[in-house]
Amino acid sequence: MSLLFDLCRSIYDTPLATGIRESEVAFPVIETLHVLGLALMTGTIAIVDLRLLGWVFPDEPASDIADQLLPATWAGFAVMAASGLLLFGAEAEKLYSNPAFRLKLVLLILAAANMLAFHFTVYRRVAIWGRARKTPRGARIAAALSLALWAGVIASGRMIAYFHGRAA
Amino acid sequence: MIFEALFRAYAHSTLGQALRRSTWTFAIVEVVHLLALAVLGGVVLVTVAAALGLGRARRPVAATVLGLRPVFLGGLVTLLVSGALLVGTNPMKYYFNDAFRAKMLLLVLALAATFWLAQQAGHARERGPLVALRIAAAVSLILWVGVALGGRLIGLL
Repeated sequence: MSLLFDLCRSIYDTPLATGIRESEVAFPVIETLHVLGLALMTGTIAIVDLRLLGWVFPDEPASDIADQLLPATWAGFAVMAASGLLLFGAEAEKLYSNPAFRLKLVLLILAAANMLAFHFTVYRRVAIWGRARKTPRGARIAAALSLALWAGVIASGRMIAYFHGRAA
Repeated sequence: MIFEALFRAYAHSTLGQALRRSTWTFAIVEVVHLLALAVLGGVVLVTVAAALGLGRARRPVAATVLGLRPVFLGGLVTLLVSGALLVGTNPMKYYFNDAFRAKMLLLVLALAATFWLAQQAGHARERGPLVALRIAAAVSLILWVGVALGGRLIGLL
């Protein structure tokens, strides 16, 4: 078996992961936190993306909207990462071979790469275009990609449960 | 009761029968429901935060409410339509589910509180004290979280 599978099995066998898996309450409660954090993180990301596309707050600088919402996005990220890691640990051995989970991880990496690429290219010149109603094409492409990728992350995340029976 | 008759009619309708038979409809509609939840939740959180003086503190609250109104309405309509389709897969199960009943009641209250919040945001431009605005914001947030929790509980009951 692969190194990654061994790692998943070790996490699965830790007392914390076993405790969450065997508790009747822990898993649904953490799952609920994961869904509430979704609104905080991806909801605020979506609003910034919509501003980059010029669909909301067209009269306010895009960098202002990003600065106002970024703390909420990071708070949401903290909730998502913490709850997501706990949920993963509790089912790590089964998730390793779950196609929806694998797709979700790929989409997460692509969403992060898109964010980094945008931040270190187009966004560095935000002082020049930030006040304009119409943002540069690079910003609009990054925003559309971000909306599509995060929607994919949510969709594949929801699909994990539908593929659970088939885990090898 | 009128609601029971409505749910029964929905179950026997062509749409209800089609929804019940389809295997993947529930999964797809559920994903749409979840995507709209993320958007509507984000809008509510940003609006409530602005009304409480957080995040967009230097902008009038009315600018936040007006700016996000199309996104709020888009998210709400998507949630209502997808939600109605999810109910269609088994209307009577939902009708007798206590979490679903609580969720619908909380939804009506949350919509009323959000309407009140938007009204107070409009007034905030002219008047100084923001007590009513902040209460409306806090009540809206609590009720919307209640709607989400009610929805989560439907599947667990």
